[in-house]
Order: sequence, then structure tokens, then C-alpha cells
Amino acid sequence: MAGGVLLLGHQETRRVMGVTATVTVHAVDPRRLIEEAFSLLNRYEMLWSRFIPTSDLSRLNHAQGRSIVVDPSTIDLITFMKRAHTATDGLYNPTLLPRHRELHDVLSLVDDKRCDIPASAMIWNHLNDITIVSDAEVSIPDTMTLDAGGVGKGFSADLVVEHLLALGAQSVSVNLGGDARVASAPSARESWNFDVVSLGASDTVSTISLINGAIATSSIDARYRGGIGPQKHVFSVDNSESHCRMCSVIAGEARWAEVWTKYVMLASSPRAAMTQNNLTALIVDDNGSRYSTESWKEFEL
Amino acid sequence: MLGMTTGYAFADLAQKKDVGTSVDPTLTSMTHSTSVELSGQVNAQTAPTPQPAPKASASTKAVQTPLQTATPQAAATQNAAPQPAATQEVVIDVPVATPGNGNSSWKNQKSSGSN
Repeated sequence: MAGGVLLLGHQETRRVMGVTATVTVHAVDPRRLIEEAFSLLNRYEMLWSRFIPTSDLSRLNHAQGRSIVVDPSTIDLITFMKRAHTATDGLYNPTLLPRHRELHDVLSLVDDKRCDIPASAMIWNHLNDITIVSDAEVSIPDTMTLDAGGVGKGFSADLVVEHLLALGAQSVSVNLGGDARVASAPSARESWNFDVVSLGASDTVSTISLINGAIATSSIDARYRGGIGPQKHVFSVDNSESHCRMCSVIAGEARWAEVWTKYVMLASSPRAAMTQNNLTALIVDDNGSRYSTESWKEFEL
Repeated sequence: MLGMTTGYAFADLAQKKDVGTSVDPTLTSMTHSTSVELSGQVNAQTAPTPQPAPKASASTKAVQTPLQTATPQAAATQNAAPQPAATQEVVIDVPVATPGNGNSSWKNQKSSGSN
């Protein structure tokens, strides 16, 4: 850096993973890094989308119990799913595709792709029978299916941010339809501000500022857009519905922020779930009332 | 001050802002592009400029996860597979987030839960 520096900021928005994705980079060569970011995001979509028959997860869902070779990053994702399922006492559950099928939520909202799963697929309440054979091979029971969902987006945002920092970015923000991760090099503590908004509502529920970390928001009607799609898409193993309209969580990583939003939304008492687990979280409940934890206010503007 | 975004004091700060639209060949939709360029020379005597302290320490996410019990789930799961047999304690090391100071070079982004 001695003798002078030319730092550029660049931002681009494209459609990836069925949502609007915005990548912002401060770096010497931000345009190259942004292309790298979208290349990675497209790659993760090809690996984990439930609407792409050749994705790792689709192939696994149709493997009838056989082990298959997958990308090492898919092993990392599945390993994380297992950790998250355990950490949330099962409230985060990636095996709910049969429930989506019951609700006829099998069509992509952005193109004509559809998600097909075996007729024998069932919802599972534990993930112990997933077998990680190696760092590139895995099997699941023949009646289990896995859905990356929002966690796949959070996981992707984390991976892209970490990759761009390793390539020399000074600060990065990757926002995938509300699952956002930001990070900066130690010498560049850039703040990133986020308006938390409820889908379909024009008002901002809260505005927060982050230097390093992540925010994820889940809404009960996130897949109901323009009169198309299911009106509710957050549900649990026993088909109980959420007590919240929406939930936002701030955490160190987007994957965890996303997981804890599901945990809070499906908890029998969302407020208790937030406080007992020391979450930095905000909810809007069924009555439209807003509630946030004390730690949320540390981030709020 | 735009220069603070990099953590360095900029002398002879120059700003150029371009707003453009280009077509992404991989997509049918338009790609919107916004670019802000910062140029300047690092003042060696003052760089790096100390950063504003966070408003408060972050106490974000629970590090300790609750004990996972062997309690069976509801029967509605239709799950023929055996339940977890043992009680196990799992510790999840979740990193915490760092609050910002609100000063940003960019328009606020949105977190809207459209996943």
C-alpha cells in the first residue's frame, strides 16, 4: 500500500438462485472479483438447486440410497445441515420437500423448472442416517430428500465473501435475496447498512449496520410473489405453522443467521427462543407487533 | 468521507461516479451496474487512520447449543427409521457479528426474506 493506492468500489445486481443477488466489492480490481463472485454463485446453484435435475442434491435425492460422488462443497453443505439440525433441536429440517409437494410448491418462481422427488420420499426427523463416505461421496436413505433452501443461499454468500477476501478484496457484501454476508479486511472496516423490510410491505421494519457478519430474514410469505406461489412456506416436521410473519437474525455467518430465523419462526414461543438462546433477532408476530432482543439494538441505527 | 471506506486517509481525494447499464450475456434480464471510484494517495504519516469503535461489543449468537435429547418427534413424521438413541452434547462455535457505525459508501441494501 505504500506510495499510493487506487481502490475502487463496484456493485452489480443479477438474478441467481431464484432471487435478486447484489454483490458489492471494494478492491483494486473489483470488476474481476465481482465476475468471480457471480461465477461461484452460479456454480453453487448448479450444485444445490432443487429445480436442476443434474444438481448434486437432485441426484442424491434420486439415488435410491446409493452413494454418489459430489462436489466437496456439497459435503460441506450437508455436514452443516446436520450440525444445524442438531443445534436447533430439529426445528431446522432440510428433508421437507415432501411437504412442499403436498402444497404443490414444486415450480420455480422465476422460470419453468420444476422440482420432482421420488414418490416414496418422506419427511425425516433426524439426519443420523446420512453417510459421508469421503470428502466427495455421500449417501442418504432412499426415502430421504434434501433441500438446500435458504441455508444454501447463506452458505453460498459466506463462501463467496471468504473467497473474495482471500483474493485481496478490502471489503465485500453479498446479498442473496435477504441472506447477506459482509466482511472486511482488518485494515478496511467498512460499514454496511441494511433495511429490514417485510416482503409485500413498503415500510422498513428496522435499519442495521454491520462491519463483519451476516443478516438473514425469513418471511412466512417469501415464496408468494405477485399472487403466485404458496402463501406460506415455513413449516415444521409436525406441520405446525409459524407464529411470526417474519424474523431477522444477525450472526457471524449467513448460514447460521438463516438457520436461526427458521428456529425462531417455528418455536412455540418465538420471544423465548430469541432470548434463551441469546440471539440477535427481530420478529414481527401474527398481530403485526415488532419485538427485538437487546443485542439487536447494538446494531440498529 | 469516502476515503474512510478503506481505512486510510486520502489526500487529494477525487471521486468519479458512473451509473451504467449493461446486458449480461448469460441472462435475459438486464444487469444494473453502479460504480464508485476512489482515487488518492495514502498519507504515510497518518495511515492507517484509527477506525471508529463499535457502539458496543457484539453478543450475537448462542455458542452453546442445548442438549439434544432422545425424545421422539411427533408421530406425524411418518418416519420409519429409528430415532436417535443416545443423548449427546454438541457445542457449536458460531462466530459473532460486529456492529457498524452507520457510515457507508453505498445506499442501504435490503434484507427482505425473499428466499
